[in-house]
Amino acid sequence: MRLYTLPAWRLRWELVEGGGDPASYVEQVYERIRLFEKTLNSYITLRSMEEVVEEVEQQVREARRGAYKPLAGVLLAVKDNIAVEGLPNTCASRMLSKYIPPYTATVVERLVEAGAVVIGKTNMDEFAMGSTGETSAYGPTRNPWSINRVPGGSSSGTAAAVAAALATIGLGNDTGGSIRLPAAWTGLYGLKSTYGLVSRYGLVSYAESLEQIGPMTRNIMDLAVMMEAMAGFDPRDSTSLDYTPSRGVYTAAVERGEEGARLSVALLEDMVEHEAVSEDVRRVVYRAAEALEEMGAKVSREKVGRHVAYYALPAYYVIAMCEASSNLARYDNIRYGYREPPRPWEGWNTYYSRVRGEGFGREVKRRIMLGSWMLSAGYKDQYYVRALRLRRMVRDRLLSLAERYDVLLLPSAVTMPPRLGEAITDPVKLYMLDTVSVQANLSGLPALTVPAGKVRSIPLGVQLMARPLGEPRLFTAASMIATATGLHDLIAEPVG
Amino acid sequence: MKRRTVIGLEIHVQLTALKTKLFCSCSADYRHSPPNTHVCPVCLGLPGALPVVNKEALRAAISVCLALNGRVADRLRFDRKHYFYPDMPKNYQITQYLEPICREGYLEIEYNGRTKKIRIRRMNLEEDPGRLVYPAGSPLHSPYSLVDYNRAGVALLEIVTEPDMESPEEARLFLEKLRSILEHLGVSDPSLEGAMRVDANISVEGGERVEVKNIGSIHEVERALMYEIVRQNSLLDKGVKPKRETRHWDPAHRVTIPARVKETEEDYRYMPDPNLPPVRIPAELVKAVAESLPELPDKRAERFVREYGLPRKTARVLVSRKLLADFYEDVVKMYGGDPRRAANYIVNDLLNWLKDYGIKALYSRVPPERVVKVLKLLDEGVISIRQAKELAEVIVKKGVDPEEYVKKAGYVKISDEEYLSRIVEEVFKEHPKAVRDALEKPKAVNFLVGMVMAKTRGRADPVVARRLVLRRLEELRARGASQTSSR
Amino acid sequence: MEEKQPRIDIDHLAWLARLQLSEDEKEEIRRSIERIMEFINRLLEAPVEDVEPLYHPLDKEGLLRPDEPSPGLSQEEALMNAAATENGYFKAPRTLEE
Repeated sequence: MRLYTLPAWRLRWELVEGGGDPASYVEQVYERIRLFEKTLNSYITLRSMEEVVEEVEQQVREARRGAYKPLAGVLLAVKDNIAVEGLPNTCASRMLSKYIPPYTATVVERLVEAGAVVIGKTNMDEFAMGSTGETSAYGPTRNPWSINRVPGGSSSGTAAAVAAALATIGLGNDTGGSIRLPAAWTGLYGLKSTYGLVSRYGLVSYAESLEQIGPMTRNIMDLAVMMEAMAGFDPRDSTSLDYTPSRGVYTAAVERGEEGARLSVALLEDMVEHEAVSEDVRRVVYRAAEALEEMGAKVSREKVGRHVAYYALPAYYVIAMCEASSNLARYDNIRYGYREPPRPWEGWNTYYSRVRGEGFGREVKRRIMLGSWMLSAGYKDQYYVRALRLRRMVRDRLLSLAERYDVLLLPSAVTMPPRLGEAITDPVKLYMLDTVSVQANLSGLPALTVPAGKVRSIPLGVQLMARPLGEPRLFTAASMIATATGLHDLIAEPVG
Repeated sequence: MKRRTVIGLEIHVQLTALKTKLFCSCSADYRHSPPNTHVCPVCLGLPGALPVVNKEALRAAISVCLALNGRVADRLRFDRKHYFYPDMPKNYQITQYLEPICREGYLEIEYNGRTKKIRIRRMNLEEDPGRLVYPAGSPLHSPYSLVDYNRAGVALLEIVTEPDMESPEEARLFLEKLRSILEHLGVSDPSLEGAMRVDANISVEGGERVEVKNIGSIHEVERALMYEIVRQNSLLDKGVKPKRETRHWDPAHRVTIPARVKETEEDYRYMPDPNLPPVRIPAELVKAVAESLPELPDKRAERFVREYGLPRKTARVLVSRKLLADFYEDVVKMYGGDPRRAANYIVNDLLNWLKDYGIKALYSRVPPERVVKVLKLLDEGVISIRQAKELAEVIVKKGVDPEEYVKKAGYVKISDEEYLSRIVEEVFKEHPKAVRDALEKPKAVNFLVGMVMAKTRGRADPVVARRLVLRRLEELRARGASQTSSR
Repeated sequence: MEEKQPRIDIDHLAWLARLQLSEDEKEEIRRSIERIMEFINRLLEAPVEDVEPLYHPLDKEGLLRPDEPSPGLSQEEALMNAAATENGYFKAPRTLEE
C-alpha cells in the first residue's frame, strides 16, 4: 500500500487500526526523499531513517494501546526557524549554521504528544525574509510541480516537502504570507491562524506582532487535526489568547463543509481586480466563488478600499523591518551562532560588525539596516508610527467586513510562481508578491489558503479570511471548495 | 566663590526579594553560584524564547511607587531599548520608556534641621544585564572579556529623581532614606553586592550637566559627587566651562574618568516590545497593595518618639536601617527597662563598633539578649556607664557574653563589706577543715578567698575579700587563744 | 504631505545595524535600498487619520506569571552553542574599542 500518499487522518487509521506497517510507511517516504530531494532541496536537516522508524513505531504502539494520538506515526516536516531540541535550527542563515537549540517549541511538543514524528528541518528564506525561498543560505528550494519555478516562501521547504510527499504534514510560519503563498503555489492547504491562537514559543522571531506558526497539509481535514493538536493557550507566550479549541471543533467544521453550508461570503473585488493580480489568478478566485455558491454559500461583492489594498503593503514592510532590526540584534555569535570567536584585542563593535557582516545575507542586511534607521530618532514617527496608524485603519476596515460576513474571499498569490532567479533580483518585485497576504498579518485575522484551480498543470490556491477565532468558518468554506473542485491530496511528482 | 550645585539621581534597585527573574522562571538568587547556572532560553536570549512578566515584580513596583508617594500607571507596558553590548543577551533591554510604572513621587529628607522634598520623576521596571569579567582585571588590559548571564534578567527598578538635591550630603540622605524604605517594604536588600547602583547627574552653576555612571554604594555616591564638585569648580575657576558628558566613577582611585564618546551618542530606538502586550493594572490591585504596606520609616520614627519617648534624632537614626530598628524593638521587648537607655546604648555605643562589620552583621554578632544583659548589669549597678561603653566594643568585636566577660575581666567588684562578711561567714562554716589549715599555714588562706570569689561568681573585690577572710581568721585565733587559756 | 524624503547614508545605516560591508556590497545595497525606499515612501502619500498606533493586532492583554522558580539550563547546555568559553563563562570581545 502506498501509505505515503494518504492524508494524515487516514494514515493514522491504517497504522493504528488497519494493520499498516509503520516501518514501510517511513521507508516509502525516505525513498521519495532519495528520489527527489536532490532536485528540490527542501530539507536542511534530515533525521536518520532508523531513528525515525523507531519513533514512529513507538507512537503507533502507544496509540494501539489506547493513547489519544490523532497524528500517530505521522511524519512532520518542521520549518527551520522552529526549535526542536537537539536538531540544528539554522533559519537558513550562515549566522545560525551551528546553533542547536536546547529546548523545543510548544507547538512541536504538542504535535509530538499527538503522535507526530519530526522527520527533519526544512529550507526557507533566510530568517523568513523572502517570498520565494531564494534568500536561503542553503540554496533555493524548487517547486515540485514545476522545478524551474520557486515554491514560494518563506516556508519554501515545508511546502515542497509536503507537496512532493517527502513528509505527510508540515509546519511553517507566516509573517506576511509565508505559509499562504507557498501553499497557494504547491497545491497545499495552509493556515495563518488568528494572532495569538497558536503559541510562538520556540519560533525564531522575525516580526513578532505579525507572525504565527501554522500547519501546511495536502488535505483540509489534516489541517483541522493539526490545529486541534497545536492551537490554544500557552503560558509561555504572553501574546497567547486565553482560548483553547475543544477537541473536534475544527474537524467537525470540515465535515460540515463536505455537506455544504449556507455561508455568507464577501468576494473582495478590489483585491481581485488589483493591478498587481494576474488574469490567471483572477480566474481561479472567481472559480472558487462559484464553487462556494455550488455548495450553498451566498457570495456578495465588497470593496476593501485603498488603505487595505495599496497602503497595507508598505506599512507591513515598515513594521516588519523595524521589528526585524530589533529581533536580529541578538545575533552576535557570543552565545550561539556560527562559532566564530572574537580575535584577541578585537573591540566589540568591530567584532559585532564583522560577524554580522559575514553571517547575514543581503536581504536580511537590507531589512535590518532599514528597520534600524526607520526606528531611529527623527524618522520613527514618519515611518514606524505612521505605519502603525495605518495598521489600525487596515485592521478596523477588515474587522468590520469580517464581522458582517462568515468568510472573505481573495487571492492568495498575485501571480503564478516566478521562475528561479526571476523575482529575486529586484527587492520591490519580491515585496509585491505579498500584496494580498500582509493584510491578515497586520490585522491579526485568520486566513487560510485552499487549492482552487490549476494553471498549466500547476495548482493555485485562493485565500479565505474570517473574523478573529473564526477558524471553523474557514475550515467549512475550504472544505466546500475542496469538495466542489476535487483538488485535494495533490501529490507532485517532480521531473527534471 | 560658592557656585550653586544641582544634583539628580537615577537609582537601579534589584528587587532581590523576588524568587525569579523579571521575565523568566530562573532563580534570581544567583550571587553565590558558578557562572551561567541561573539561565534559561529566555534570559540567554535564545532564538524563539519569549518573556512573560513576573506578577510579584508588578506588586513590588507598585508598593515602592506608593511608598514614594507616586502615581501608579494604569497599565504595565514594556519597551525595548536597543544598544549592542556583550552583557546584553538580546542586544536590547526590556524596560519601560513611554509609560513608566510610576510617576510624580517624592521623598522628604531632613537636612540642616529642616525638611526638604526631593521629587521623583519616574520609576520603571527593567531587566538587569549580565555581568562582565575581565581576565586581566580591567577592560583596558584584557584582550577579551568573559560573560556570566546569571544576573541577566533579574528585575530592576529604576528610580529617577528630579534635580532637587544641592549637595552630596543631600544625595546621601536621600539614598539612605530610600534604602530604608526599600528595606521596610521587603522588596529589596540594598546591602547585597550590586543590589543598588546609582547614576548621578551633577551640574555646577555655569557648567553643563555631567553624568557619573554606575556608582556602587551610597558612600561612593557622596565621594564621587564631592570629587565632581571640586573638579567642575576648579575648571570654572580657570574659566573653562565643564562640558556635557558621561563619566565613570573609579572607586579604586577615587576619581571620575570620561566615558567614550560613542556611549553618549547611542540612539536607543525605543519601541514597544511586541512580545509583551500591555497588562491593565486594576485599581483594586493598587488598593490591595496600599492596604498591605508595612509601617514605613517615617511612621516608625514617629512611633518611637511617641511610644518610647525617644528624641527625634535618635529615632531617625534607628529607623535608618530596618534591621537596626527591628533590633532595637527586640531589645526593648526583652529588656523591659527604660527604652531610652536601650536606644542610647545602641545608637551611641553599639553602632560605633558595628561599622567595621556592617549593619547586616548586627544580629549575628550581637544577639539582642546580650545587649539586654548589659543594660540590666547597668541597672543593677553592677557596672558603671563607663564600663558599659567599654563592653560595647568587646561584645561586638569578640562576640562574647557580657556577663561572662565581666566576670573574667573582673569588671564587677562587690566591695560591700557587710555583704561580703556574710559570704565569708558562710564559707567558713562550709569549709571547717580549710579554716583549720589556714589557721596553721598562711598559704592556705588563698583557698578561702577563692571560695568567696566563687560564691560571688567572681564579683567580689578580691582585696576586700582577702582582708575580710584574714580578719575573720584573726578573730578565730583570738577566740581560740582565749579558749585555750581558759581550758 | 509635509514630510520630505530623506537622503540615506549607507555607512550610518550599517553602523546602526552593526554590519561591516565590503565596498561592492555597499554599492549594491545602496542601490537596492534606494529602490526600496521609493516603495516605502508611498506610505507618506497615504492619508492617515490621527488614530492610535496599533502595536498588537488584537487588543489582548499580556500575561502575568507566578513568582515560582523552575529549573533552567545546566551550565553545559547554556554554553554548548558558544563560539568560545573559559571557566564556565562565555568568551566575548573586548569592551574597549581601539
